[in-house]
Amino acid sequence: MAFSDLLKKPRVAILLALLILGVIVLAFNGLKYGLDFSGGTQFTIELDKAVNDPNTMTLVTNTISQRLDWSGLKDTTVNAWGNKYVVAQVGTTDQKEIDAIESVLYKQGRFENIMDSQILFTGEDILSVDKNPSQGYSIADTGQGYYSWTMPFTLKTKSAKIFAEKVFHTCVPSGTGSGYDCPKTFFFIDRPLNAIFIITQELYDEEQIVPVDPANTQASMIDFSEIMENASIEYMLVDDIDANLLATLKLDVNNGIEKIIVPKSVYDLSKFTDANLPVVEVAKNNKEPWIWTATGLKSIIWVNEDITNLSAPNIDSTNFKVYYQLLIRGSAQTKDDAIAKSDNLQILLSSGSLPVGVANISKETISPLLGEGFLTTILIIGLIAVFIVGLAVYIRYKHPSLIAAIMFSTLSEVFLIIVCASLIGWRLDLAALVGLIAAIGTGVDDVVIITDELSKNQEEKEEHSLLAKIKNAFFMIFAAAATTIAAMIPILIFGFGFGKLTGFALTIITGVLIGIIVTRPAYSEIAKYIMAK
Amino acid sequence: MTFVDNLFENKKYLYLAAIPIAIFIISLIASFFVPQSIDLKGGILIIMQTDSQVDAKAVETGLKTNFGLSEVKVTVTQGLGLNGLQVQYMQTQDIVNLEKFITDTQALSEKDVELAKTNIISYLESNSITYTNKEYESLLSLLKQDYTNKKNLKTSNLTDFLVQNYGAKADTLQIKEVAPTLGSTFYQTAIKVAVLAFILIAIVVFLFFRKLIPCAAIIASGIFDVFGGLLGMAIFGIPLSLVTIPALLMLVGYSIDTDVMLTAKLMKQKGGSVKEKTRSALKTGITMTATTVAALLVMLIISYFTNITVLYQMSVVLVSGLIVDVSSTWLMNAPILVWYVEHVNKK
Repeated sequence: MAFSDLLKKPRVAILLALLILGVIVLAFNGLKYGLDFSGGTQFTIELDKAVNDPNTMTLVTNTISQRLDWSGLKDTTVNAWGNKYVVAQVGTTDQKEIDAIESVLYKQGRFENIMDSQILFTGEDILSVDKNPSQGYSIADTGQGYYSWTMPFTLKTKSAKIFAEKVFHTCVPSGTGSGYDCPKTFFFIDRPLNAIFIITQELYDEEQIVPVDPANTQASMIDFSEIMENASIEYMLVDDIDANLLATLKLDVNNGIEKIIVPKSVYDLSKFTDANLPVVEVAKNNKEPWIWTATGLKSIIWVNEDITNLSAPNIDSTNFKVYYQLLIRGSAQTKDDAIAKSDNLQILLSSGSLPVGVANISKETISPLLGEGFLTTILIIGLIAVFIVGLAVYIRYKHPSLIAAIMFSTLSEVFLIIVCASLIGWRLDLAALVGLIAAIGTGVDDVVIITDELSKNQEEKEEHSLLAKIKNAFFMIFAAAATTIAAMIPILIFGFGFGKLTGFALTIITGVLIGIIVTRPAYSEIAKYIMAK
Repeated sequence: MTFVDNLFENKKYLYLAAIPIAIFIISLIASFFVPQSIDLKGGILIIMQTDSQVDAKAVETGLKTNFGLSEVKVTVTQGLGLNGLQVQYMQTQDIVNLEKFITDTQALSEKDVELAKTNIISYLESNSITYTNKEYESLLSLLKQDYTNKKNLKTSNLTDFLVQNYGAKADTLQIKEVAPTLGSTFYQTAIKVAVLAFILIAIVVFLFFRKLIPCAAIIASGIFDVFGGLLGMAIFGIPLSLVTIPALLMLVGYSIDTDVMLTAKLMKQKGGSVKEKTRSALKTGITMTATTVAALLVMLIISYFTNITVLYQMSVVLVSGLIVDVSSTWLMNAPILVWYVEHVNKK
């Protein structure tokens, strides 16, 4: 049989075709790496009680996600596992940051609604926030190309009265038609108290006007100074830190300033710390203007004239109505956006309180420095191992080209498993790669079985057809594959190891299946060809 | 091969099974000495790399003296560039007491919230922690935050100690902390997984071979091999963890391959005497095992010296199990099968 005939054999042709397809898939999809390679930390949060309602669990994961978001971490993934655990992954490995995050996971935010520099109500004034349709909760298609959402909440009695008095007649007729100009209210989480901002002229110029909604490109704009007024925070434009500034700041600290907030990586912090000034850096993230992050501003929402008691002449009048049940309305482009926005608002108003408490937190950090080293070493180990297998088979069966055949079929198998990972979007982590090496191991036994059957021409006295031999070989291979898969399935069924081992089990199962369906049959053809020469 | 010839000459070949059974008994006893990792019993594991030659015992003593740790285990591994340093310990008593206080307070709050709040307030005040919001949830969260801070401070001090005294490199730090309840959840799940795996494998083996005694022999061999893995873990001090338990499961798959091959040849293959088939199976089987063990040894050596603990531990488990497999398959499974084919399943 000529080499070209070998390539035309269906089993070999299929393998080659899949390999080429695989290269294309990888080129488009790429590979995602888990924490073991990109570095980061995983928190496993155990809840006080099991959460059986999926909606409540979504609230839990969203709230945890928001709490992380409020502490400055925007790049996190939070997932529920079973009904009692939540797994959160963050990209940082710095010990101090990790400790701070762990603390945050136990902490609610301090919510305040402020208008004209006055606090209208805080988290403590809210009685309940409920996605209750009978109280007004809704997500609706306006029919005009966007969705509207409504989030109801209830204030406590005393708080509602104070609120009604504060917003009394704050809306004025706008002069155009029957509309009103109403004031804005600012929703803050963890607004810095007794603080002063030190920023550069450049930052001020950039953020002199900022959007009213950072996520909306068509939002109207608002002045930097208006936000700072409502946040009750003074600010100074400073490009050089000199003795005068430090002296002024010292005076401020004596008069009650507790924090000096500066943008990250702009000033030489040692100048502040050497003068014993309490300085805090806030990083700029690319989702919102720095001022939003630094002041803890989360949302700007207008008062609606309906609740400002337009028809009552004064607050003592019998017409004066106190509204306990309030609504917040907004709009979004898609239904999912509308749901997400109303969910986030619900979490804000609840000050990020969790429906179920956190019982304990387990964590694991992986340093990224080790990541690259791991990958290279594992690749080297894999290659050497595969070569040794080839060598051993050569020693036993005496055909040197077998080494190449075995390395080819084993490496193809590895490649195809990685392609599967790319297609499904698995994150490759250490467990998955270990599973990969394990899958190669099962392939080794199969290779020996096949080569062995094919080489028995010389040893047996009776004639057996090639087909029967291959059938024998594949019976053993299928039985072996079935036992390996049977051993791995329970890991998937019980979700053992909360996802870490799922990758391991799936990689082995995929490897075994690819082996028996594609690479072993191809190898048997190739080995047949080699040993017939 | 003379082994096979001897097997058939000596009528009493079934007694060969005494060897694997003896190994099994030793492994069974040894399995009680396999340490448990924090994955299963909870605790804290600090992994760092150091550029000094460090003595594990010295570090243990140093930690016990300076931090009052009652239970601490230090492992040092040689590396090519840097050496590996692992410290595994359980929380100190003061932190454990604080945990208990929190759990008790939560239980108390179910019956008497006001008393729970009072208890928390007196704790906060005696620790100089300010509070503004007097609602239970808010107080509880302050308490838990303080617990977290105290706990993490201890760990942080410990890692600083290792950096200052034993040349540990701060940027190689990895920390793993498992709450005891999470650990016990993993432990229970591990048992369920093992039991289900055993049942499924038994079903699969039976589906392929259908006859009771050969199937039982295969499964017995598999069990012996898993305990062989445990024996290796006991000897090398490899703990039972979320890494090694799947490795043990994988070991069943690997080691059963040789038994499946043997049984298939003796029972499904037509033609050739039992002796010839056994001889042929032995050659193939030893090749299979030797090849895999060779590759695993490469993995073991390289991963040991490059501090890739996960791979090293898995390799030890697999190599130990496969070496024991040689005895289980050829000294027990083979004689049983040969006896079965010659005396029971006469063609």
